[in-house]
Amino acid sequence: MKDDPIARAARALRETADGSSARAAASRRRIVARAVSRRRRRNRLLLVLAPVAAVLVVSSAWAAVTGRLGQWIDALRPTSVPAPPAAPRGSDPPARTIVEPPPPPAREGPDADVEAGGPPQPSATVASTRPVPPLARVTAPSADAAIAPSPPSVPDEEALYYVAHRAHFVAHDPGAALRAWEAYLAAYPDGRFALEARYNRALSLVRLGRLTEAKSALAPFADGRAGGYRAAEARELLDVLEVDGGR
Amino acid sequence: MVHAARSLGLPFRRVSGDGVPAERRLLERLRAGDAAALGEVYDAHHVSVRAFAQRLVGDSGAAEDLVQDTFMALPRAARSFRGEASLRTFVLSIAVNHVRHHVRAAARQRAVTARFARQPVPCASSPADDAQRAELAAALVHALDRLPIDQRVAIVLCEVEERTSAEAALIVGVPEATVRTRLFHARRKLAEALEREGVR
Repeated sequence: MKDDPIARAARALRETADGSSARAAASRRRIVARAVSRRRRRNRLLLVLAPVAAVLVVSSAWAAVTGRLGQWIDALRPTSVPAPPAAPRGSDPPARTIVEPPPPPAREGPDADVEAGGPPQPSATVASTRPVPPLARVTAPSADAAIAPSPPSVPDEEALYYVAHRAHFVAHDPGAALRAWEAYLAAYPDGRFALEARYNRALSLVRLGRLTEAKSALAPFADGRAGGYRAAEARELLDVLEVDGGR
Repeated sequence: MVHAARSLGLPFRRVSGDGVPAERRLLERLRAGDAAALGEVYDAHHVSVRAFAQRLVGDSGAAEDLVQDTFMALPRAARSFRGEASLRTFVLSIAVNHVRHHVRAAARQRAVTARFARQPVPCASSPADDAQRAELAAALVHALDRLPIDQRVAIVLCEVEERTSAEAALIVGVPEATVRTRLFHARRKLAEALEREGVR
């Protein structure tokens, strides 16, 4: 073994390089410090990402439970995509963000008023020219269905809205509609459909010929206090009423 | 591989008071990013890792860099370690994986130095055999520079550190027969190189 140069050289190298180093302690400090800083960095990242992930998860769950997730997804869709048809029972009235065309109000009252030469009355012409809203189209295509509606067992607010909606758009009874809208507004002045209810109440007043009340009911819509909801139609209707009132 | 490691008495030899192998618990702390655990592993194994690095690289500065690289890579590497070998063997295998860059850098440095003068031999205290030993070691390092890295690792593990080919295979992660083949070719080249260096 001693004569083997490789073995001798290997032994010499083994004895020379024995793993001792003056820098051992410094290396240890550096290695441990690096590990600590890595861990801190990871913890900081977790501190930032964990709350963001939690908020996302909780808000998605909340939106899914309350049914708003679908609305958000619908809102993200392009505007050219047609809105889904209304539910048959009318339990899904128009949301505020989606403009559902109610019966064109500007034509009915004033036109009828002009033709009749007096205060507007609910007439067969008015009823027949009124476009049938999607709700009525689906639920009550026949007059019988309109006469004997059976309110579904829905929460109170929706039940009140349902009754008013039927009277207004299906039965075309402005007196009953006015009472129903006022009942809804009395119970839910800040309800989900309060805006629509106020506007439809104004239309009922027009149809009943109570023009002064109708004007004051339409004024908030015309001057934009209702957030622009039906502002153009309200202004047009008020103009017609002014002209008609001046005669 | 597991059998080979067990036959060497390598994995999880130390058992703590509650029966849980100490190395396993240390590994779990390492995987969790515990810096204190890394310090403990360093304290236990830095001498053997540094010795291996010095013998393999042939330069104390490059060896120190390799030691640091090895231990810094340890927490991440520990996540994929399944406990087939001892922690020391595992740490040495990390060093082998990081060695290429350091060996090349050190060999380049030695080649540049050799153009002007012989690599300075570390000062021996006084006895002549110390100087001779240092000169022999330097000659071996120069000869190792001419070997492919795999053969170099095989020589350092088996000839310099006197490990069995089974243990070397475990560290390098190749079959034992491959280690023996590398050793055979490396010895032949080394003998010629050492002869050129004047070592007989």
